[in-house]
Amino acid sequence: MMPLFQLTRSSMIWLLVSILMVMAPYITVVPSWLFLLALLTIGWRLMVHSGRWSFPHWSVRLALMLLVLIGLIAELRQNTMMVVTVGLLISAFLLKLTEMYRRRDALVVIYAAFLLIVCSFLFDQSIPMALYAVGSLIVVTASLNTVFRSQQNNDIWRPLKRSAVLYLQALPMMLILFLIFPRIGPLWQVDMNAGQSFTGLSDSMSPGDVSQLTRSADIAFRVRFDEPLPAEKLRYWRGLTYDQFDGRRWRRSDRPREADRQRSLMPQYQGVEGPSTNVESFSYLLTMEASGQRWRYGLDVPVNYPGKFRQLDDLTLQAGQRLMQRQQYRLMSRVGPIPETLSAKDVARYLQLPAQGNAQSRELALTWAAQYSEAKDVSAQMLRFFATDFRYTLEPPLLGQTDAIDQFLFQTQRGFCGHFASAGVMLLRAAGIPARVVGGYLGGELNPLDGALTVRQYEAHAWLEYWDKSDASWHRLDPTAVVAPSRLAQSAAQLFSTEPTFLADAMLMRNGFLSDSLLKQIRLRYEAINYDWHRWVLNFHERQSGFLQQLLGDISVLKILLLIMFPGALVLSWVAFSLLRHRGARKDKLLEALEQLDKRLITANLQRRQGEAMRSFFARLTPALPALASEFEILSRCYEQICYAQDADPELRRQFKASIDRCCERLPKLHPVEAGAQGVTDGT
Amino acid sequence: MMGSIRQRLGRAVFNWSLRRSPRLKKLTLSQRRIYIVPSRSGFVFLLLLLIMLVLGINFQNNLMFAVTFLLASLFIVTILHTYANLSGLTIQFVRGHGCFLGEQAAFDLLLTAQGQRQYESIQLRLHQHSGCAVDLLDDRQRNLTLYQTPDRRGVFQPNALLIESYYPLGLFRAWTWVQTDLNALIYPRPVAGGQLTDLRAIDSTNPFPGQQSERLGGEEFAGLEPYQPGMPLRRVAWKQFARGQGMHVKHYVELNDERRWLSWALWPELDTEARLSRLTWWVLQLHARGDDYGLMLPGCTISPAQGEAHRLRVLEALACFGLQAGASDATGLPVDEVDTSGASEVEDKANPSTLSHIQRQRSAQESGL
Repeated sequence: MMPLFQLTRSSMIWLLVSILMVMAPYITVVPSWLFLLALLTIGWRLMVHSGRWSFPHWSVRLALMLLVLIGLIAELRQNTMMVVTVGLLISAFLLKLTEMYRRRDALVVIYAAFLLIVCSFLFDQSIPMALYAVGSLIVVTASLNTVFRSQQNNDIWRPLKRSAVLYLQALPMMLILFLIFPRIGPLWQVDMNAGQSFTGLSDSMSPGDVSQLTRSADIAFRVRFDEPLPAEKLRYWRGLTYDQFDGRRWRRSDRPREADRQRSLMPQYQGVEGPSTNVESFSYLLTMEASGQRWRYGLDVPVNYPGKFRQLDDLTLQAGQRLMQRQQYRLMSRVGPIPETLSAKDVARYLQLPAQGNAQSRELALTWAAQYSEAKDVSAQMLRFFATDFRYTLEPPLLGQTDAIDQFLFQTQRGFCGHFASAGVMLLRAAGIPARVVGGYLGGELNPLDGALTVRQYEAHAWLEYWDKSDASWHRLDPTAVVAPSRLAQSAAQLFSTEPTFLADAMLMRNGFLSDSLLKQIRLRYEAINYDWHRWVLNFHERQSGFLQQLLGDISVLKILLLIMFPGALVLSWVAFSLLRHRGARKDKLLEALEQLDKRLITANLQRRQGEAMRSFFARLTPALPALASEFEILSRCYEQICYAQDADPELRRQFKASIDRCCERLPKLHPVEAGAQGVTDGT
Repeated sequence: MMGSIRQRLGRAVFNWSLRRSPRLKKLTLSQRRIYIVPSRSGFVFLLLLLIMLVLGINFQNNLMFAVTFLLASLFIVTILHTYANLSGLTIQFVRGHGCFLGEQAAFDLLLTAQGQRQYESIQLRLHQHSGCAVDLLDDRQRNLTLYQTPDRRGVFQPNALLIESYYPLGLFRAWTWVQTDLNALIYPRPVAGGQLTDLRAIDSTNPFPGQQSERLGGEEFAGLEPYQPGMPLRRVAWKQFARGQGMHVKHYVELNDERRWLSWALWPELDTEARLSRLTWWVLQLHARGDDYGLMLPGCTISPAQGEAHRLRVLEALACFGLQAGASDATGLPVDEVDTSGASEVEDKANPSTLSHIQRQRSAQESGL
């Protein structure tokens, strides 16, 4: 029944544009050979369309399909399931191009394009990506429109306009649905590890690792404090602690234990360093970027945290799942020493050292232990030791496989925070003081526009904590503070700006390009917008119930239904009105003008008769109104010139209009004429 | 099983909508006539939305939700667009064209857009036949012709007309069934057979013997006539021209002393339809030769004549033979004993809208200027 479907030229163009647009976001995600496949199939399809080639033989298609399948199975080794699934979708979508015979085949490609647009949000959820997706949606819908147009209609821009109008009309309803639709938890557990690579700390650390992070300006997390902001030197963001040392790398113990929930709330805190001894508490909202890890950052010691997190015995926070996409949570933290009564087993755990190696360091530590009995004094002695000849640098010399700490402490003496923290813990443990390395971030850039603090990867930091048995608490000790005191006062960006490897992966920011005042303003503005984007759009599922409560008071099914129905009906009736409005055919300007005259003539029954030609109309008027004879002559001449000679000169129209006006002005008072009396003129 | 349910449902809707639709010369589509449901691809689209929703829920991805809801709203909005693509459209049934059995009968329609609205890709077809897709973008009116192959001779009414639209996105199908107020006269299928001599043989029983007619282009020289531009040069009388008598053309005629009768009784060995088919074939032959011919059927005699009007009258008699009730229904006139001027009247009667339509168009042009 249906006539054989053939892609029109506009259909073909829009289809290819949609394919390119839909695939572009996947360039960094899926294996690059899929793009070769895209070129091949698109090229082939174009050749078919221009009539030079025919559709590939089924054996060619089968071979292509098998090759793609084998390729994807091979990719499974390096990539995750999700990437391979998306790859499968893309290749099916491309191969379908080579067998597009019927309208249904084109529909398969277009529907797959819709699905691919949605899946691209698995890998990127930024504002530009969202805008881009809207653009692709409009283009894909335009190509869907071309498929359902008649074959003779080949206007290239019309489908795009039509599709944009459709989306504009759909937008209000989409907003309502977005606000109202109940967000429920995942239906089943999905492996979110999408093969993303993350920059950030990992659960083991060798001294050089942290300096690697300074190459990147990626955002680690953003924080917005309820007043007040902590002082700069208190902005230690704890992530995780490392307690196992193998002579080279630090690891966290295999099975971290959960903390006793009451402990951190205990009131007695005693500080070590003068002004920071006051116990201060801060509450804030933290938006953490995907890290691929289970720990969550928080300022010093979180005391209030969401129920979905666990607090480990080192008082860091741990979530049930790896963080695969941005997450937002509210915390309250206290700053100061962390009281904990260590059992003998714990003491042994925090004194663990490799059986041998680094003899020189151990010796040094033992002399300190003999000299001072208090842990406080030993640590002060250690800081004095670091303050002497050590230098803080992003590019420390490479250390050997064995006795690396000896080498660092007594030969190279140049290192980054990781080196100092790791050597410090080793020294303290050798002196019999329980200690651990802490990984996290120090600092953050304040955005004056929205008051949010942005913490970037280059602010990654490592420091240490030791346990003082005199007050049974953990104390923070940051050797970096004595080696490079400015690290605490300035941002990392200022401190390292001369180092060649700093921000090596983010050249724009490194060269001060984005730190010039105007550009910095723009960047800060962008980040402020971005922050709201994260809070309001990407994390809407966590804010929805609060938002709805604010809007509706108590939430009831009836209210929600009303909220959907009422604006929905309003929008739909507006659309229906604009579509179905009966717009009469546009009247010709000349006839409109003529009607003016006609109305005046009605009283005398001289008006233009049905189907009366213009010339005979005026010829009939001339004897009745001899005073206007010259005007009638002009009118009929102009009219014929415009309508029959197709003269487009606007002067003629003006003349016609002016003449009509003159006629109306000079028209004498007309008296109603009896039907019989003017029957003579009527008869002509 | 599903298929048969679908078919049965489809047939029920078809019958129901036809019962609601009287035969009209002109009708405008409105919400009373337009039916709209999601098309098959619309249901697939809904399935796609479901997949997207599950993805959004499982990945807790609000942008996925946003796109899903955007597409869902698009789906809803499309209902209105698809409906608007049919509503307000006016269909006029203009005329049906007669044809021979085995050919396709043509039916003319006129579509008129409402106001300034634009219509795209409206598909029209007669039930169980192929159709066409039309646009009404800038032009406000559009003529189109639909075809249907008739299955028997006589007055033929086309199947119900399906008007449907999937525009703009194919998610919905808006359609309506309309009873067409059109008919066409279907002549018997012409089948070659018999000899010209058979017709002569019957001449002996000619009820009007001895009549002669002259036919141009024969062998007999009949005289000279003045040359007029366009006459064949090889027939110019050059001798007379050379004598300075002006340019003349030699005039030949064929003397024809018989007029041919196509009679029902000619081929008694054939059954009714075959006889009608052969008679039809001979009508076409004789018409092409320019002969005079008459028709004798039981209960119907048309005296010999020639010309297009005569041909149509004879064909009509053949078409309606044995179906008198239907024939007079269609033409409203007795078939026999009508003079040639009646034939054109018959034609007009069958297409009453033709003249008035042309008049209307003229006045529309006039006022449109």
